[in-house]
Amino acid sequence: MRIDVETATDWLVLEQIAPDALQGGSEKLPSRLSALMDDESEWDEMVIPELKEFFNGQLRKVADTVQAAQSKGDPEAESPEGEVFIGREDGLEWYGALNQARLALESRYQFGPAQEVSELEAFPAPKRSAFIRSQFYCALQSVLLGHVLE
Amino acid sequence: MQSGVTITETKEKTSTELEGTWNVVVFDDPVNLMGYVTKIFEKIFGYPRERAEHLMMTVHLAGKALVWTGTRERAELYAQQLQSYQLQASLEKAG
Repeated sequence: MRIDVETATDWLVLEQIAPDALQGGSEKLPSRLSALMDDESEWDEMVIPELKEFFNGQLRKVADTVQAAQSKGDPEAESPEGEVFIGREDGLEWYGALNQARLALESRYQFGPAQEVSELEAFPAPKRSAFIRSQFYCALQSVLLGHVLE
Repeated sequence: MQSGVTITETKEKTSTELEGTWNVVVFDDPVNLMGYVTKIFEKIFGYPRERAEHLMMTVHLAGKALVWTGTRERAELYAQQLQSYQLQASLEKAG
């Protein structure tokens, strides 16, 4: 899959995937996912550290891929156009990183069900831009799901 | 001596509690895409598409679904796999 980047804003949105996940407390995600596990499972010691490392790896992969794609562009060029490739083997990592970002944004801003345009306009600016990013991440996930994930 | 006896009894009780049949339960969340959840059920449990979709819809509509039943050890493995795909999962003693 290829993402054609046409503007500086496009790069900013792609760069924001990992920070969105991290600022929303992605390090707490493994604990949230396993909150209902019983004490006998020793999940805190045995599983959560592995999940943390696994989820961090997804964010590193996406951040590195975006950064590498940016560095391939011509720094002297007026246009910031570029291409980001997501191979089939990287699909799950991308999907997971986008999911982390969406979970974090939802947890932080509580968007709830699909918003009406009028509601969206009433959001404070940070929440509105977070909602738009979340929608973009969701659209990207849908494409990954339909065309990249096996 | 008293202390040793107490520890042995506790371990036996814990071991007994972990025996038997366990359910793996998946909970709904506001983010995961329906198609993704279906795909994960197919991938982890090897369920046919129809069964995976039915379980996904149960999670979506009822808030949770029992997705597998069996030994504690296997149930823990499945719960860990589900969580690695960012689905909230837990175990419940069956029966």
